[in-house]
Amino acid sequence: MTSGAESLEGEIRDLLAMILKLPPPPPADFVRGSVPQWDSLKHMEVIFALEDRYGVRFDESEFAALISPMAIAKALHNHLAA
Amino acid sequence: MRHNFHLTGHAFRLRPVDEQDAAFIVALRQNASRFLNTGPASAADQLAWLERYFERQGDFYFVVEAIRRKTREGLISLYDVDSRNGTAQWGRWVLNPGSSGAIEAALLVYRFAFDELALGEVRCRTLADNFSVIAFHDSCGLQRTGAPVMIEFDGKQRPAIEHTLPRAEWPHVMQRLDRLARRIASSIDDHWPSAKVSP
Repeated sequence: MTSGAESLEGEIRDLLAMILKLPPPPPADFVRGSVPQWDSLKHMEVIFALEDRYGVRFDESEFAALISPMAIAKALHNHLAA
Repeated sequence: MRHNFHLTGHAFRLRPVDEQDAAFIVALRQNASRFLNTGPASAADQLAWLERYFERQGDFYFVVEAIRRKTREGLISLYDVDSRNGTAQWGRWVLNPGSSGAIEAALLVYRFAFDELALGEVRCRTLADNFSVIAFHDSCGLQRTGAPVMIEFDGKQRPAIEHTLPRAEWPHVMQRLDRLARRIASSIDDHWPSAKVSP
């Protein structure tokens, strides 16, 4: 992973922890399937919170792949670099 | 039952299931999560199931369609409608992998229950180990009844969690779901080919 995406990953982890109400400290990495409270409603809240925070717009086709802090960081980094 | 209710949302709509949907239903349900009854395994068996469904009162089965794409993307039902007590249950909720129609489908089925049928309460029962759907209902703001509930799943009784949404709480839930449904629609619109301006 590029350093740009790596630096985003911590911020994303904190954002996810806040929206999903994960007990602190959030795990180093986690995936959607292992976090019950990351349901389909929360998933959209996460995506829109990311869009608002970073000023990007994800394509609907990207939604399903945004399943971990690392995956989100990579996608976000690509958007920000575009 | 045969019905003629159509509900249109921001990006998705519900229309009545018909015979032409039999193969679609089989394909979708056979590939669905392990928490959904698999149901009939062939289009012919599904057609037979639909014939019985068409005769069953108080059961409204819908196809979820994407408005712009004009594609079938899922299924959802409101059933066990009890007009006398003003109650019903919703379920048979399944979407194509990758579809973003789940939230708006839920919103539309609630709209149907409260605004079209004027029901007083809608409940949903979810297998106790289907944590993500239980979390979805919690996130919507529904209350768990806490009562021990068993549901039939592929011929066996299994423990379930029951959520209820009384009419008084519907406006709060609607607001929450509608805000997300609008945003999803906006996202689809923004990336729709005709929305892109040619240089």
